[in-house]
Amino acid sequence: MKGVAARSEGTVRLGPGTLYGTLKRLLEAGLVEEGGERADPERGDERRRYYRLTQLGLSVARAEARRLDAMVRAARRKKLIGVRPA
Amino acid sequence: MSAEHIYRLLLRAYPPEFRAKYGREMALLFRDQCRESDVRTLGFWVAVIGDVARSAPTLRVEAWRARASENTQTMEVIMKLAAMLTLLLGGVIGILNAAVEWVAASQQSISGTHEVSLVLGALASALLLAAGVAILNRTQRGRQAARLAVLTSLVLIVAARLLFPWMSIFSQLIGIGLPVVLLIALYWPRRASPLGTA
Repeated sequence: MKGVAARSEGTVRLGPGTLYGTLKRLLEAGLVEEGGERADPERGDERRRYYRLTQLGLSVARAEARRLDAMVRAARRKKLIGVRPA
Repeated sequence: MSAEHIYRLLLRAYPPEFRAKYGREMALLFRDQCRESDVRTLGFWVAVIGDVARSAPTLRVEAWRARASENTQTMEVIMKLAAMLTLLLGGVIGILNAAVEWVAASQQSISGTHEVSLVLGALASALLLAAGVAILNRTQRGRQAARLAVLTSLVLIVAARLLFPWMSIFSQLIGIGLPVVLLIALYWPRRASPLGTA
């Protein structure tokens, strides 16, 4: 959750409900998988479940990144972004 | 009452199956949040309640839809079983009906058209039975064979009825009504299955 907030410069803040709701859907779609449980010494040694991206998830993420990249380039060409206001 | 205790109460807004799988992890994550934030501020609780209010209703609707889909599948199985049972019974009743009519008619002088009509009626019922067996096969070929058998049965029973009016209203209802209902069921568009068609 901290990672999402940091990467989005504080614009996206995930709560546990939103995070696990999204994880459930990603698991059902086969985009992520459970990576087992292990204790985290930094967080009171409680056992935590870890998740990782599947091969399909990685392909989907790459395709989405390419799509967004194309949109950003199109926006730049149209001078919608990357231009300082006069 | 501790913040974590309040959060565990808020977790009740989520569907039971979701809570059973992710409740513990969500509570652990909330504990992390509590360590890193000031739980006495209004902003913290606005964010927590906002998160529950945004995610819980959506997950409830998803769980409800999943249950509704399971119920639909159960209903489909029940309907199929009922259709097969009715078909098999209809076939047996049709054959018995034709045999009884034959015995009754043979005590007097039985005409040629009456004879042909009774044979057609018995054939139509036998085809209904065959359709029931084909449906039990549960393959695409079985489904096609069932359609063909039901359609032929319908044609034969109508021909039998037109040749000689020996059938009772009940027999006509079974002999004509059953194939018509079954043909509608067999040609009815099926929902796309995520596992592909059978």
